[in-house]
Amino acid sequence: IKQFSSPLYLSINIHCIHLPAAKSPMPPIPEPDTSATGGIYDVNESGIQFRHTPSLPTPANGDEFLKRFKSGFKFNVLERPSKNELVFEIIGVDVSFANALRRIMIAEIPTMALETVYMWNNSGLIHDEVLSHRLGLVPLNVDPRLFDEYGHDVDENGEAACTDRNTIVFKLNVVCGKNEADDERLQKKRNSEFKAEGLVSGYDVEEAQQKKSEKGGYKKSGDDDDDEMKEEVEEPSVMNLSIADRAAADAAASNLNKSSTPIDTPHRPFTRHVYTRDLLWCPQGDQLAKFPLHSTGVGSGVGGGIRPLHEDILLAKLRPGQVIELEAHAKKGIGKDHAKWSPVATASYRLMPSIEIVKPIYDELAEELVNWMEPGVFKLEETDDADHRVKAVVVNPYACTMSRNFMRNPSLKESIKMSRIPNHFIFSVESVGMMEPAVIVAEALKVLKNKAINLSGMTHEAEAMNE
Amino acid sequence: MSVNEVKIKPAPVQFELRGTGPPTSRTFVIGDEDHTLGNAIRHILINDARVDFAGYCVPHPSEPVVHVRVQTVTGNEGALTATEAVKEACTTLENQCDFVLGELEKALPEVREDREWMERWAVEELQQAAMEEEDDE
Repeated sequence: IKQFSSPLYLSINIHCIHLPAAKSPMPPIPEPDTSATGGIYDVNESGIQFRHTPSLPTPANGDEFLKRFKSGFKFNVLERPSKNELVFEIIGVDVSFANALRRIMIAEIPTMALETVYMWNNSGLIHDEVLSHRLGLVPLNVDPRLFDEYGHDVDENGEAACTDRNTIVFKLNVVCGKNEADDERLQKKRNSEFKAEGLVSGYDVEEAQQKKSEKGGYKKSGDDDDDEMKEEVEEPSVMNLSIADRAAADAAASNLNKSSTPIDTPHRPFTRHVYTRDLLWCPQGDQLAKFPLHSTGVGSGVGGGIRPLHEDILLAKLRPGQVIELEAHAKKGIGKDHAKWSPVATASYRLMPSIEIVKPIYDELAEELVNWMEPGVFKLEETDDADHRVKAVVVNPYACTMSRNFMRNPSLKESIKMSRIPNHFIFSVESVGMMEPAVIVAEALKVLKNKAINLSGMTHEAEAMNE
Repeated sequence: MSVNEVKIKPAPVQFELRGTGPPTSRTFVIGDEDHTLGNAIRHILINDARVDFAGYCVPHPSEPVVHVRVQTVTGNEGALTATEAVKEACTTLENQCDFVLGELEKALPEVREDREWMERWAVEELQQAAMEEEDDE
């Protein structure tokens, strides 16, 4: 190793150790076909840069554009990690279309959520507006397409009317007893009163159905029933206990139970937790017929009535003597207005990475690359060369997270060329639960189609008016 | 209905056609829209050889308005007017969405089941509405 005086030369010197022996000039690197996209994103240390490449001439008109689109289009489902998640890929689509779909999935697909809260009595510690905000964020297990938008049905005064076709009514009526026993007694008494009034808790009904070991699942497609039931049963077995046990579990969970926690403060008052299972549905008009409590297996008759998706979301905590009495109305809205109406936990996409090994990578460097730097993307392969044992080979570009770890090693940096293909998108849609993710994607396409139809109509009208 | 009910106000201008002069250049002002539609339509317009210039902008993020500017090639064969170009682009976008929906149904059977279920439900609703009308009469 020669000694150079200037620090710049020193740094170059260190790099020289890693370079493999010079080989004959490499043939030109084959690139992914970019004629359809007009370019490719080159990935370098500082980020991404679009590089234009020769592309096909502009289509003559809409028909030719469509023809090219249809011939290059591919749709594949990649993964379904759970019932509410979907990972799929779309190839041959422009970023504007993919982004439009993503934006619509997040913000413009209508859903039902609690909107208006009539607070009759709230002597708990949670402020009215805070409690109302929390109620709004509770996801409801009802297909929003079965309801109308609020504001279309207009009554005599010209004001929008709340009808059984556009509103769902929930009531929350909880009182905290003086202690566990008192609370249990109060619950039992009030539950029977509520049942007499016609208020429904979808979860009580399911509990009853499970006890009878009926198939009381709540999804339309038959296959999902079993999964649904399992899901419900696996939830804190609280649901299968009697109300008394539930209160005890509540108290235990609250960590304020006198007898079971290390923080044992004597004379500490009892705390009642208000969960979403305390939200009772008040069926209006013919809602009970349309959303029956017991599954009829047909159409919207999937059982359980209308209820929140999760029964164990904590809404508030009450101390003895405190009361919450409210009535909440659910209406249809879109995510643009308020995030509570967004049907997806989130929907996102990423561009497909394309990794090419420009100079072969062998031995220790290959092992380092495969095992540490980009897990899952490369794998080691045996070679037949006399002096090399293993070679790194690209096996799964989907697993690449663009961490660009390999760029830390200068020789690897020269041997690997990374880029992003501009018309290949990997979407990940996670639904909140009221609609399946595939259905959400379909709805997004319908919304985009309606926007186009709307625009076309308005243009036509304006043109006609001008003439 | 209630004292503090929030009413969503639609944009002041739902649609406006701006541009005097030859009908080959127009600016389309669309209310209650944003990049979702603007970029999608612009992309389709750009991929049309008869369109000279196509661009969109959102003048201010606080206002739900999008401007789409279209200028078509001024030729001799009865050139395409700007409004026609936009209408064709909308039709192309609709066809694109329909096609993708078809592919989605092929790949995911639950989408087809869902569509059939919704159609049956819509038919039931119509029947019920008809029955109610008979009852009223």
